[in-house]
Amino acid sequence: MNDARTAASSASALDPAHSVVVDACAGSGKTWLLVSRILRLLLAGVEPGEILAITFTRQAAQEMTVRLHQWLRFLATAPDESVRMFLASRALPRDEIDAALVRGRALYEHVLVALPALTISTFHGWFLRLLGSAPLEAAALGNVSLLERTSVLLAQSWAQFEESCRRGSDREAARGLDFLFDRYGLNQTRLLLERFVRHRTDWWAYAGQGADATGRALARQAALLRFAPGTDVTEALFARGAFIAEVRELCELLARNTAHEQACARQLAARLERNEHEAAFAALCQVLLTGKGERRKKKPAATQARRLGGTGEARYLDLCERLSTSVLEALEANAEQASYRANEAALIAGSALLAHYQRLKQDRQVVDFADIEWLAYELLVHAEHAVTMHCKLDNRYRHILLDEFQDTNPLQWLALKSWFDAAAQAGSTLGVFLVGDPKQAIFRFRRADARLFEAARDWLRHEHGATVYARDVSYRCAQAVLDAVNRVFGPEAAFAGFVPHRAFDRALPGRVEVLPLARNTAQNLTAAPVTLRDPLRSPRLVEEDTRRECEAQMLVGRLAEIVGRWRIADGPDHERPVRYGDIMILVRRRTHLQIYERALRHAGMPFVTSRQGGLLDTLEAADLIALLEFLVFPCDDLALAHALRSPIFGCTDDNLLRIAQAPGGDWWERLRGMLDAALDARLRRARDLLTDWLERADRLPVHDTLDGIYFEGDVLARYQAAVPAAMRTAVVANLNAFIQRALEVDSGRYPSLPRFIAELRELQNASPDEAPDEGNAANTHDAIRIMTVHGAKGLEAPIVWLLDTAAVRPAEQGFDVLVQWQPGEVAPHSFSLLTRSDERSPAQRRQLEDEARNAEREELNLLYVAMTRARQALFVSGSEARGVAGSWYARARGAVAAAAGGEDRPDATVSHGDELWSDAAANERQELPLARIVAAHDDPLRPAGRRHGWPASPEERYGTAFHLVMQRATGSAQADAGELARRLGLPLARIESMQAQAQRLMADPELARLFDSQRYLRALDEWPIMTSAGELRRVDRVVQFRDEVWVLDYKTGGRAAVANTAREAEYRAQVEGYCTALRCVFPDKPVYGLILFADGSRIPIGGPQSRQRAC
Amino acid sequence: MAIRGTIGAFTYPSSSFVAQACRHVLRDARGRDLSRSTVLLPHPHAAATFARALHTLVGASLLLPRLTSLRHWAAEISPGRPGAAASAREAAVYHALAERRWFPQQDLWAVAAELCTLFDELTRWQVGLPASPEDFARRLERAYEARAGASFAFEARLVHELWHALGADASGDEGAYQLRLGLLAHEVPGPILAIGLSRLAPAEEQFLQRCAERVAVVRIDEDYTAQPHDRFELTLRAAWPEAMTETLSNRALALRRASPEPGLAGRVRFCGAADAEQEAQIVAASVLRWLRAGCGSIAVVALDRVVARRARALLERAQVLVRDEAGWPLSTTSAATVIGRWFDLASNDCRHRDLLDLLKSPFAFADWPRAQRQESVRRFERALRHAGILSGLERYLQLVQQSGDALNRQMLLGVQRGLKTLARKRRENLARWLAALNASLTQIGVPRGFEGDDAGVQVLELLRTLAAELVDDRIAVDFGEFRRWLAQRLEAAAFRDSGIDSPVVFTSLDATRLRSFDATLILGADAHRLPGSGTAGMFFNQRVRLELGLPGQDANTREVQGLLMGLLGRSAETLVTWQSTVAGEPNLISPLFERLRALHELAWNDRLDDEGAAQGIEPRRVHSTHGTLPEPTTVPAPRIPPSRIPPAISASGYNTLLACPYRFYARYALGLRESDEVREELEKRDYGTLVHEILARFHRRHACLLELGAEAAERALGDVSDAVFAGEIARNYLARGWLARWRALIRPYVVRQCEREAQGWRFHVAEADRDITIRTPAGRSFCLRGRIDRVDRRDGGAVGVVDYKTRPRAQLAAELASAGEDVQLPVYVLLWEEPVAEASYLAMDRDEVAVVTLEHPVHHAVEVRARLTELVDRMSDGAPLPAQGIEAVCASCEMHGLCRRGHWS
Ligand code: SF4
Repeated sequence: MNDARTAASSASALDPAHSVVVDACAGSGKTWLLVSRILRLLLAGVEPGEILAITFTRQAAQEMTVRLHQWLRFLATAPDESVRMFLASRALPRDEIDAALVRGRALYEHVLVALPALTISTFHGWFLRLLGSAPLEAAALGNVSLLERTSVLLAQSWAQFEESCRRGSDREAARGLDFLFDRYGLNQTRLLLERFVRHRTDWWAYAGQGADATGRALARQAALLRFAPGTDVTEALFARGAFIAEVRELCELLARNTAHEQACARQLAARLERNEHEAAFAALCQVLLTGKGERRKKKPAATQARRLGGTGEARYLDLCERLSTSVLEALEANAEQASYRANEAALIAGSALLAHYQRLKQDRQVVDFADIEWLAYELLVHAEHAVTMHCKLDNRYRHILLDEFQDTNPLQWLALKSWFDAAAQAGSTLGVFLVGDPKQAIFRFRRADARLFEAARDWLRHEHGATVYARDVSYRCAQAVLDAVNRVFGPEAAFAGFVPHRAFDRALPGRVEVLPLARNTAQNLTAAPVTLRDPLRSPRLVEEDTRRECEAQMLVGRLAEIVGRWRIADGPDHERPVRYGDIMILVRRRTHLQIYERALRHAGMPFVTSRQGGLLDTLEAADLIALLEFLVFPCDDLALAHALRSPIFGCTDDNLLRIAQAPGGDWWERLRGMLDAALDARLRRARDLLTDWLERADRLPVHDTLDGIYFEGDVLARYQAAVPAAMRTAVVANLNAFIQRALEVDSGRYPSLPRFIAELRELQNASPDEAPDEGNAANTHDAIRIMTVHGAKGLEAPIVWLLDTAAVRPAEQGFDVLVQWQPGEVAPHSFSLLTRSDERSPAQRRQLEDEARNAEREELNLLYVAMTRARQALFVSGSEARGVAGSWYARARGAVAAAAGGEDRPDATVSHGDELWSDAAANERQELPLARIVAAHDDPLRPAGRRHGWPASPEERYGTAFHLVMQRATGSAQADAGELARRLGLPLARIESMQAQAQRLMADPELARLFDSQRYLRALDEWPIMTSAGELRRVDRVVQFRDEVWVLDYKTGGRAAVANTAREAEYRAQVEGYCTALRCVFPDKPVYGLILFADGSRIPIGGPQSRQRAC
Repeated sequence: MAIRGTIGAFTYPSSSFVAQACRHVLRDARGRDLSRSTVLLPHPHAAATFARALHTLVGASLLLPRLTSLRHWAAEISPGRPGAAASAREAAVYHALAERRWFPQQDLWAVAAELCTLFDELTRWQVGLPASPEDFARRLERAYEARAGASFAFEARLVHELWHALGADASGDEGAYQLRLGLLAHEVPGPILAIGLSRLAPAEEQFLQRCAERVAVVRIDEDYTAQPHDRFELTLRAAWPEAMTETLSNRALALRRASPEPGLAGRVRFCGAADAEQEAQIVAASVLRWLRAGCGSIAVVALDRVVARRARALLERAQVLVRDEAGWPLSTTSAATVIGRWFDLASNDCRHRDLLDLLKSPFAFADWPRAQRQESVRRFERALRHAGILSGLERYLQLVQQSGDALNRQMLLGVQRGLKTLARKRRENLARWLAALNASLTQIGVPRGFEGDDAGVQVLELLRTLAAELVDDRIAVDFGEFRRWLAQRLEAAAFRDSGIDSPVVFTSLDATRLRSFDATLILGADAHRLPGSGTAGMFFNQRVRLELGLPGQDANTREVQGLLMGLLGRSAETLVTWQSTVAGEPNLISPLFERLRALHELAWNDRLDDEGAAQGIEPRRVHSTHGTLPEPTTVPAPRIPPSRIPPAISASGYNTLLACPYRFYARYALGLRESDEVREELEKRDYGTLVHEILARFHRRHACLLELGAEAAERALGDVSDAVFAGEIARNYLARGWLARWRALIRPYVVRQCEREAQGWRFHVAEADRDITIRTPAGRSFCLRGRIDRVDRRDGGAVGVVDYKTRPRAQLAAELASAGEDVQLPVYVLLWEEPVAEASYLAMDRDEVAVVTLEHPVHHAVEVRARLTELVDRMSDGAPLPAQGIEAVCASCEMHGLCRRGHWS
């Protein structure tokens, strides 16, 4: 800690005695600070169960836990001197270090085994925990599971909503829907209502949950209207006598003015005459307003004055002014009315859709994130419940640590605040530690509100006496990168109060490059060609693609110069050549990623795109889906052809042609009908495997079917052989992710192949952050990472490349929910739905302006996040586009050019910072190994385990039943025929007849001795014995007499059925085995065996024939 | 040995525990007949281990003692008074809750299940509830250390009231067990040795006490505090000490002093996997390795069921069958799926997907020959897809009536009868519901199918048992409640495949007590699963549980520790796996093992990592004779053999050829197209079709709008539109959205058409199908064909061809501007053999209807024709057709899987 200021602020920030708020810049070590604070709390004697740390992603929570454990382990095991330094660097006062050293030794285990445990969690995780032990009457969740992806369910709610409208069971909602359809069409209606559902917690907070919520909300909107809902604004205007009089007067003046105005006057007069107010209003608008609906500027002019006379002109100007004000007001009122009508329809329809959605979740016993948030909020805002919760949780939290607070949404903050309040009420004081960075607030679309950071800060300062610190030292970025950051954001008005960042490690070399804008390389694309294109020779070119293509070429070109040649820092005082894994490529949106990926692939540069929700878009997943589709519906020719062309079968176009030319019905029929001789090895293999798999798919659950396919189809190896080397790992990861998906389908409940496919289809249509993610190949090898800026939040890389930075943000396009929820308010101040641009109330327009400002600010935040991911080198590139001026590219270019000084030539790269190139760096590029193809084991394994006749055939069940009947008959307990019949799934009559047989056997005078307890010493039923070979066996009955021992074995049926068969021999051998074993046990008595059939026949074992008499 | 009336007690360290216990058994036996004694084991699975240990000591055959667990033994006794069966008690609790309307919003079955678990615990630990609910509430509040404002009255009242309302039934199976123990105590035949039974409940202690009055009773328990036997035990003991009196480093120092050799090396290893798949592979590979090394008994303690299931599949690939003692919820089996789907059909008007799903199940109509059933289902599916029926049994029946397919009909009638049987009921008691379910399933041959399936048999057995247990339950529930209830039963019941003998067992940690294995693998040993939370339901918290006398989490952790010490100690070799990352996020190993590893590392600088386990884990690959690996994927560019050159090319075919020759190849040379699907909703292209139909119908009726008058025309067009859309709207209400979209265009359309008529244009013909024969330079001939949406004539002379497009004007204009890329209009010009004066698109989008005209139509047509003839010649001469669509085309290309774009090297 060589920076005094930082050290001082750390010291106070970490002091467990104070509540603290930290405004921390990117790379300033938020996690370090937070975990250090936890450590200090523990050292100060706080129990683990009293600490609650909340952060934003599960990943961050897990990483924090790992870090904490690492440090604790260090405290427990490192030499005294190192621990002392460690503690000192966490700002522990010198005089406390020795005591802390001793305490710290035991903390590791103390935390590991603590009950209740230390909590490091996300908001949702913590809420879920609260709800899990909430008072039953309040918000107990019951046996529900958390649904992370909801779009499928939403689609199903639409289906139900649709049905209720079709059947006429919800007429009001149907009317609302019709209204929306008429005005906006299906797509926009759908968009609007789905956004409403997505904003449901805001809605509930605004309007409550009861049946009359819509009514209440509409009443609030209506109260703001200038005219009561349903009023015809134009009529109302013309109903005002003064207005009409003024219009007439104007009309007269117009009639004396220019020719054009005279014409207008005639029209206006005619309409007024006929009381056509609507038309008259339109005519008036034409006179007073421009085409854009703005006030026409009317000025005094000499000629005009001549036409109208001096007072006439003055009156004319005055009337224009006054009337245009009225007209504009009327127009506003109209827009307001339209907005209200749209809201009325949309809120009714939206609430109906929402009700279906909520009911569906209830039926399925699932909750989603919004539900959890809402329930927790509801639970905690009830002061009484909140207090109860403080007692009910096993954890008695005394210290709360909050990370990434700029990403909090109002509901979360309110829940938390209620929690704080309840703590005070329950008599405990909380220490709070809050970290955040408003500059990194980029989750507006998840309803995060960066203003809450300030609100919370102020609140904590006042209520908890919290101290506030700002940190502006970056432990991550090199100064050159920070220079660029400072120059971009320093002058930015939206970043008022921005403190220039400083690098902790001033010696770390760094570099920023902004490449020239990529231009269209293919000239004259738009000019008409002389001859028509020949599609067989030249592919079609599209302008936009070629620009990005050109940018992609710059990317791979520059990367080729860097990898293996540049040196980057790798730990203190150590450098090494750059690897692919050091590079992170960031984009704002994924839209054009394919172009860049293609270039990387062609250049042989390995990369992984952690494409959220992209699994089902990959070709390999599509292959598997096609194959499965064929398996459930073999008449699907295209699916079959697709599967055949995939590497699983590797068929060629010739192969397909052959099938196409073969006679028969569908393709599968043709393929099966073809003679072996007509098939090459590929087709034969395909036919054989598919035949097998069809049979398997009929029988086995999804996962087992797929597993069989992977194995017998040698799927992983075949894909690796077929796809480009740069893609291998990613493809294998995706194939694995796909089969995992099959394990998880519907949480494994009620699985079936058609249902699985249907679910995949629905997920394919779902929004990207809902669909299953691609397999995670990131950690497995050295590859470039491609991600969105949002996805890169919290991550870093030595080299970062921002792509496509000249593109401008697409304009927001209405049809959304507008919520105004000021920090500190307990509920949204307003909630309305936004439709077309001519249907907005003034309030909505004002809010939209606010929103636009927020969006703008967030756009800058996004750039801040993107730039600060780079540890040492930052590249910025883009391609020509309209409106480059305010783009990221322009900002970055300006900043770097200024830092570099000198002239900025647009067709050259500008750069700032150190040279990272080093000729000493060895060219370390390695070929990618074939991922994990392992040769077959040479020594074949013998199969292990065997299946012994299960499921039990009815015959076998009769056998079991007979044993049980005999056992019961001989034992003390009364056998209940009904219970046996039920347990074994056999007819009652059959059991009863068995019982009769058993009675007969026992009554048989020859056998009576074996069943009459008066006549033997002991009898054991179903008894375990151990043979001399060490095998555990159960014998049906052992009867001990004074002078001999008998072993009985029961069989159903009769001896006749098995006489002289292998079965009989087997029976005998078995009983002989028992006899041998028992002879060992009873060496002084003869042991005899008897196989006893249900029909009374029997086979004696081991005794002289004469002994039979004895039985 | 024990004296009557007291229980003899012995403890032995884990290492020699089983052998010592055996000695006790042998001590007072008569030679090799041990049958007079009863050996009580913690778990019936331990019997084999114990028997083997006895055999080892004696070295000869034995008549074994009764080897059983307390619960199994008690189950043999029939209780004097039949208590309420578990399901009946749960139903009673459910009804009691429903009656009180405490939780109108919640799933009462879940609450009932939670309450029953609690009641079982209260019974097991003999926790008495105070007589008055107020006393109970006060007791809870004290235990919660509740502060001002908190109230626990409701929780107290709920538990208290229901407990007392149920009376004797509240104690459930646990109570019945205690009754049985009471009876059993009078009947014990000979000496009892209770071996390694940990945590006995009071009733069990009493039982042993009572037995001791009549026979000799000896308890033999593991002693975790005894002098450690070797460095292995020493290490485990040091890792998990009873009390933390020494720091980790001091303990490590002591260990190192005691043994220079690493304590656990070679015995216990750890391996973190990057994801679930890798963990499953590690498990499979390790098991295979052990089998190869000759291990005769391998235990896999499956803490993570999903990974276990995957691992089992991987092992089955290598022909290793696994005996699974823990099993899966019955609800995850294919058999239960059929019931789930059957319920779906009953509640959603027979949606086509669910119906097909059911019919495809091998359990449905299992009495039919398999091939016949499959064939019939396929025919039905084809017809269904073609007809596009979404739901409604009646409609399906009509369909097969029309097709006259007798088998299909028979199937559907079965379904109809079955659903009727189920649907007749509104509210019924559970037993009647079960009977109805059974009867309805019989109509579609399901029970027959179940008979032949492991899980099916168990499902049937479950249904029968439930029906019998609930004969006395009289209260009616509706279908939804019944369904939820049964789902929960299927979820709670475990499916065990008991038909497998194998050296490899998948089991639970609890079931490893006293058992020893040659090798053990603990999978899923992360911090969430181990030690786990024990029993912590929605009631109370840890403090309260302890106060009431229920075991807490602490006890659970200690028990798990004991189990692990025993298990590790008895296994020659143990591998512990977990996922060190889940979805890319770090995932911590169990704190128990974390401590162990930290200690071991500190003492001997060895974290016991197993690097080797993750290596070479791909289980054997299959090498079929013709399984050579495929070639790297490249851009395909096939040639069409002359015989497959399509004899007729349409306008859209020509456009396809331009956009991507390979797509043309797949469509026209291979003849592939997307198969019919039952669509749920109207899509954009269906909308286009409807618009075409509307306009064709309309103009055939009204050739001249000026004559009709604009207003009348609008009305007429509106009526035609409604009529054409009617069917769609009856299918799906949302089609009204599309209709509204179209209706917004009616006025602009009429205006535009009137303008056109004012210029002299008149409608001539709609949907004109045309084809012409074209000769190529090389002397071949082919047919060019197409359907022209509309042909107009101006003043009876000049011809105009019009194509309707439901796309924005700008898009169409751009397309026409890129010369020769969109050939539809030129082709129409060619097809209409008279000279065409004007060729245009009518762009209808949003609320605009606009005309986009092709400049110089005839000139274009000539060029377009020349190119096509040349292309036909070149294709016929074997020119390759490369895959080369642009992004926008590929994005919606159905041949994507065939051309393999995206995997090209
Ligand atoms: S995906 Fe693209 S390249 Fe492949 S066939 Fe379709 S259009 Fe052609």
